[in-house]
Amino acid sequence: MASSATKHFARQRMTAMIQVPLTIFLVIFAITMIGSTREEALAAFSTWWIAALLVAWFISVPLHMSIGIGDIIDDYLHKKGTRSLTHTLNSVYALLIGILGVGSVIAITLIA
Amino acid sequence: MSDTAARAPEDAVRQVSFIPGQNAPMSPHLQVWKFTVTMAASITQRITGGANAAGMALLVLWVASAAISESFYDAVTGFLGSWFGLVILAGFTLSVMFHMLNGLRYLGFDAGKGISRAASSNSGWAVFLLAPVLTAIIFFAGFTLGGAN
Ligand code: HEM
Repeated sequence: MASSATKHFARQRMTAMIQVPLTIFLVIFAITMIGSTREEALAAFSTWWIAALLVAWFISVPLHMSIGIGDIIDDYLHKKGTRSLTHTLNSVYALLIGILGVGSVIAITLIA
Repeated sequence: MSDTAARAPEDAVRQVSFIPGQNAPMSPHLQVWKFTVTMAASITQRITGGANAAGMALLVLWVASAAISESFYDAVTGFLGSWFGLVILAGFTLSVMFHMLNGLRYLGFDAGKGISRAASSNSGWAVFLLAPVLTAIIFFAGFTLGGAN
């Protein structure tokens, strides 16, 4: 890629497109999960295609949101130290969401 | 018009003396602006992007709690099902619906579709209207067809 800005732009749009069908799935899935016991939840989360869609969600969204929040930080924070610290926190948050999300789905497929 | 010419050199001198961070004008200007729906959609896209990021913590909590223990899962789903939890979920749903619809609008713009002033304004209004409508439909479905019913 020409530059990191170009890479961010392309990734932001790529993940945006992926997330439209994933979001529609997630909303419908969440509705069907209302009132589920943990046992029912484990069975649903470990269904192979649901697990796959959830993993896709928890990879795409952290990428998309870390780029997006990164742009917001660049727009509003100008002090060098504050800005780089906030960028670090942004990356840590995205990694945490991604690792916990993917990790939980994998753990559930192993225990269920 | 004649005094314009006379004033020009003076203005040119003033231009040069603008110091960024002191007296230079900034953009976007904070006092002089006009409401447009495209501008409102733009700032709302930013706000909902941030709200979605916060909402992701709840989503992860839900999935992780199922992996961790029954009592933790019951605590998380109990909170999400409480009136306070439902208010947060409604806000999260509205935020995601707006952001998704407006995001699609931007993907269209990137492809050169609907970028005329009239079209972008109309699609902006449509997003502001459709996001709450979709949210209402989702909550209606949740309360009537949802797994608990
Ligand atoms: C559901 C499908 C989604 C679509 C179609 C979508 C689309 C987009 C697009 C096109 C942008 C770029 C806006 C711009 O450059 O001005 C954007 C920005 C952003 N998105 Fe998403 N998005 C989606 C979901 C999400 C989710 C789930 C999150 C958070 C967890 C999120 C967080 C953000 C953030 C923080 C920004 C940056 C906003 C800004 O720079 O003002 N998005 N989104």
